[in-house]
Amino acid sequence: MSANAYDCIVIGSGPGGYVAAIRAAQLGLKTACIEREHPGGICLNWGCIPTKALLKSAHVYSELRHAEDYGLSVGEAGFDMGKIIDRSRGVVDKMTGGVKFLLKKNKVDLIMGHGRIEPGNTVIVKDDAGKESSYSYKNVIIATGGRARTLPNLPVDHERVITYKDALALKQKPEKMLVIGAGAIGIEFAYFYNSFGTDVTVVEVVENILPIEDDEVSKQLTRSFKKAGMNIKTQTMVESIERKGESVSALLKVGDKSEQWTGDYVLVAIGVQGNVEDIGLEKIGIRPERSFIKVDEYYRTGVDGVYAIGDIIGPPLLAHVASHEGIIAAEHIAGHKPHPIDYNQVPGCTYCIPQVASIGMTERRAKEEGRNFKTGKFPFSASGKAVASNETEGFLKVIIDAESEEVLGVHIIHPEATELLAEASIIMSHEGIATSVANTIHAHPTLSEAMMEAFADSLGQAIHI
Amino acid sequence: MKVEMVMPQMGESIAEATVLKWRKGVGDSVEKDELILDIATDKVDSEIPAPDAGVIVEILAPEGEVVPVKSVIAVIETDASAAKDAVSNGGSSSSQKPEQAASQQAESSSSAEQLPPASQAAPSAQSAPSQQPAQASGAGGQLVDMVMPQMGESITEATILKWLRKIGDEVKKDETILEISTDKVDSEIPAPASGVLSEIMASEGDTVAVKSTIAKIATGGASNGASAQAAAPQQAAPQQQAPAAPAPQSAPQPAPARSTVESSGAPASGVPTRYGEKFFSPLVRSLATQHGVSAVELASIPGSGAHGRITKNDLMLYLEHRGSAPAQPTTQTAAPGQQAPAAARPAAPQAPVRDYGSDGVIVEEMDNMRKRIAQHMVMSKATSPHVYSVAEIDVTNIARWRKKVQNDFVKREGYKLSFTPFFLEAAVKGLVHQPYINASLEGEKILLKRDINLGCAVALPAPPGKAGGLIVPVIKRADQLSLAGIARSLNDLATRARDRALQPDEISGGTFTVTNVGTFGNIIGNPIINQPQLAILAIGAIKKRPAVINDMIAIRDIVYLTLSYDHRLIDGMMAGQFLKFVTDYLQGWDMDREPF
Repeated sequence: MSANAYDCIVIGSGPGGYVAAIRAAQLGLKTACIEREHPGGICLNWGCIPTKALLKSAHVYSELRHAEDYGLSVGEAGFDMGKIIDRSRGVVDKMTGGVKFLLKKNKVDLIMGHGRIEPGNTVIVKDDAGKESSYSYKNVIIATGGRARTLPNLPVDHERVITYKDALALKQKPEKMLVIGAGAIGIEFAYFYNSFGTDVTVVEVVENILPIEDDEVSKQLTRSFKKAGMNIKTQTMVESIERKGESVSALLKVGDKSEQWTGDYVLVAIGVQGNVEDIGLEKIGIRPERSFIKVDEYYRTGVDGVYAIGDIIGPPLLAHVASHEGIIAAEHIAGHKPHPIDYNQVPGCTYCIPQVASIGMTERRAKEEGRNFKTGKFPFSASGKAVASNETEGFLKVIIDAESEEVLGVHIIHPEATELLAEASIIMSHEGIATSVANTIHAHPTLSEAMMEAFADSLGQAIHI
Repeated sequence: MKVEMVMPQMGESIAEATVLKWRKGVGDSVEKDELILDIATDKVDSEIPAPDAGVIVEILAPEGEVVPVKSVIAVIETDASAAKDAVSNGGSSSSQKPEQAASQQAESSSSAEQLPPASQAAPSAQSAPSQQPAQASGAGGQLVDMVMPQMGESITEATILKWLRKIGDEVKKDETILEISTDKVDSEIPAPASGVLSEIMASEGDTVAVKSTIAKIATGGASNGASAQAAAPQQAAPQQQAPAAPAPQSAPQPAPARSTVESSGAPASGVPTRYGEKFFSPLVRSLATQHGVSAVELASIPGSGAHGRITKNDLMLYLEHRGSAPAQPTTQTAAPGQQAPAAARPAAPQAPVRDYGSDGVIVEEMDNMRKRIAQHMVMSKATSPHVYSVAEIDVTNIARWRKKVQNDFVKREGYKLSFTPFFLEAAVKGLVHQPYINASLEGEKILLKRDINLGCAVALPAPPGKAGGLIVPVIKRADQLSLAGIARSLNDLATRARDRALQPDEISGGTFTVTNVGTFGNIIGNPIINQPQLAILAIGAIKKRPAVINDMIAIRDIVYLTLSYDHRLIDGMMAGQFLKFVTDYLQGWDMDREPF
C-alpha cells in the first residue's frame, strides 16, 4: 500500500471526525484525518468548550454579585471582557493539543488542508499554500460539520451583525444586543451578555424559547430570564436589519404590529447549515437536501464507500451524537455490526443559568403520539440541598408510560441540570421504570433526590411534595 | 468429592421454592435418593431426595428461605474423611451427629489414611492443609481441578463454547465461568471453588470428554493466607489428622447488616429479577407482566443487549411473533381434516429484511444445535440402511371418542387432548408386541430394552431471522402410563422443550421416536432414525376422505403412518406386523373406554 493510500479517510476533525478516525485506527484500518482549520472542529474551537469557559465566568460573576446572600462581602465585583475571552481561548488551546496527541497516539495521520472527494476513491487535499496532494481511500467519512445558518434579509458583517463565532472573540461588552433565535446557542449567549449587564433582547419565531424542550421548561426559563432583566419576544419575526455606523437597527414584526429595535450588536443564531460546499459531493453523486446529507442507520450515503456523520447529516446537531455516529460508521467500515443509535435517547443540554437538560419525549410529543402517559414533577424548592445552596429555581419532570411505567422523557431545569441528567440517560438505556427508580435509595441531601421524587410523584407516591 | 444439591426445577412456570423442613442436618449421613428435604412452591409441595450418598457438610438455605430453582441449597461430601474435616471445621455447634460422621469415616476404606484429606481434591476444602508444598500461585493456595461435568447418561463429550473468564481472573465459587454445548443441551458451568483461574486446558471450540480436567483454579489469595501457614506444621506430621484449621470454609457467613429484600420490583410483577443466569430489567419485567409472559418464556427469548440481556425491543419483537397466547407445542397440532392445518399456528412471522450484499449471498455460522443435528442425521443415514413402510389408518372412531371425552378431559387436565397421545399409546402397544423394534445394535449384539422410552420430536421456535432447531424430549417408561398420563407428559415436555427448560435426562435414553409431520398438513413423511434407536414413526395429517365401507362410500378421518426402520435388524415382515398391530389398535378403539 502506498503512503498515500488509506483504508479510511475522515474529512473533518471535529468531535465526529476525530473520534471516527481514532476508532477506525483502533480497529486496524490505516486512517487519515483531514482538517482545514483547527483540529477539534467547532465543538472544541468555537462551540461547546469555549462557550462553557465564558459561561463559567458569567456564573462566577453573578455569584460574586450576590455574595451578600451567602453572608460574604467581596466589595464591588468587576470584570474585563478581554481577559474573559482570553481565558476561553486558553482553554481551547489546551484541548486542541489533546486532540492532536490522541490522533498521533492512535497512529492517525492528521493532514492539514481542505479535502475534496474525487471520483475513483480519491481525496484531493489543498494546503494553505495552494499545493494539492492526492490520497486514495477504500472508505471515506464526511464529517465536515456545519456553520451558522444565515438568511438574505439578515446579512452578517461579522462586526456588528455577528454569529456565535464572532461573539467568541468579541473583547468588548455590547451595550445593547438583539439575539435572533432562541435555540441553545442564542440562549447561551443571551444569558452570557445579560449577566455582564448588556441590555439583551431575544426574538424567536415560534411560541417558546428553546422550542425543542418541554413547554413547561421553556416557560420556566422565560420567567427566569425576564426576572434577570432580559427582554423575550416570542412569535416575533425579524423583517430586516440595518447598520448605521456603530449602531444597528432591526424591524421586528409581532403579529400584525411592527416594532423598531436599535442597539449596537445583533447576534444571528437561527440555526446551522451543513458544510457541503466544495467537498466534491456533486462529482460522486451525493445531493444534499437543505445543506444536509441523507444517510442510513450506519451512516452510508448510498455511494459505495462514502459515509457521512455529525452536523452534515442534520439534527440533532450535537457533539456527543456526532462522536457516537463516528464510532458506528468506523465499526461498520471495519466489518463489525454496531448497534444503531436510538435517537429517542439522546440527551440535550443548554448551559445558561438555570441550565436546561432533557432526554426523550416532551409532554407535547407524548400527546401528539397519542401515548397513554403520566407525568411526575419535583420542584427544587422542596429540595433541602437546593435550598441550602440557594439554587431553588426550577424542577425535574418525568414522563412515563401509564401502563408499563417505561420512562419516555426526563426534563430538568436547574443550575445543575446538565449533571443531573446522566442518571436519566442510564435509567433509559438500562430500561428502568418509575417504580425501580422510586425504590432506589438516593443519597441525602443531594439534588439527585429530585429524580427519585419525581418518579415517585408520577406514581402518586411522592413524599416531599 | 463434594456434591452440590440444588433446588430442582419443579415445573415450567416455577422459578423459586420455599425450604420447609430439613429432615437431616449438617453432619448427618444420607443415602442417595433418600428424601431429606421438604419444599413448597406456589404450585406444589414436594420432597427432595439427596443427589448422592455422603454426609451433609453445609446447608446453604435455612428453613423458611425462598430460593430460586437451580441454586445450591446444600453440599454433600461423598468422601467420609473429608466430610468429617469439613464438618468439624465448620463449627461444631451445627454438627448434630458427630459420632455418626466419625463412624462413617471408620467404615470407609483405608485410603483415607494413606492420603491426606486435601489431596482428594475436594474443590472447596481450602482449610484442609496440604501435605504437598503449595504449588499454586501467589499467596500459596491449592490448585483445584475443574472437570467437564457429566450432563446426562448418554453424553460422553461436550464442546467448549465460551470461556467467560480468562487466566488470571478471580472467580467465585458457583459463578458461571464457562459455556458448553453437548449434542443434547447447552449449559453453563460454575466454578467449583473460589480463587484465581490459573490454567485453561481446553480452548473454545474444543470438544472434550466428560470428567476430563479443563481448567485449574488456584484457591487461596488474600483470604487464604492463613491456611498456607497452617500447612507448614502439617508437613512435619502428615499422618495425623489436621489440627483445627483457622478460617474454616464452612463457617457461617457473617450476616449482612440488614436483611435484604428484592427492592426494585416491577409493579405487582409476577416475573423475578433473575431466572437462572438471566437478568430481566425492570421495564422487561413490567412489560412481561402486562403481556402475560412467564419467566421461563422470557428466558427463552434471545437477548440483544449487553451480555445477552433481553431488551424491550427483543421482547416486543418476540410478542409480535408470538401473538397473545403462549407458544403451543407443535406435537399437539395433528389437526383433523375439517380444521385448516395452517391455522393451528400463529401467522407466519414476516421474513426480516436481509441485506444480501453485492454477491447475493449471506454467510452465516450454524449454531451449535444445528451442527449437532446435521452430524447426527448424516451419521444415522451412514449407520442404518433405512426402509419405509406406510399404513393407512381410519381414525374416525378415535376422533369421535376424543370429541366425547374432550370436555371432561379439559376440566380435569387444563388443556386439550390432542391426537398425538393416541398414536403414542398405539406405538407403545406395538413395541410391546414387537420388542425387537424397541432395541438397539452394538456391533453384532442386539440390545433389547425393557423400558419403552418414547422420544417425541418437538420443533423449537426460531429466533427472528434464524433457522430453528429440533429437540426430542423423552417420555420415560411410557408403557407404564395411561393415555392421560402420556398426554400429560407430552404436554409438559413439549412446553418446556420450547422454553428450552428441559433437564438433560429428559432428552436422553429414548428407545423409539415418534415425529409429527402433519403439523402443516403433510400426509406422509419418511423420517431419519434417531440413533442408536432402530425405528421412528411419522404421523401425517388427519384428513377426511371418502372410504368404501361395506360397498358404500363414507366420509372417514384417515391418517398415514410411516415407519422408518433399520434393515440391519428389522425386516419388512416385523415392520409390517408392527404397523398392522398399531392399525388394528387404533381402528378398534373402544368407544366406551373411560378417559382416565
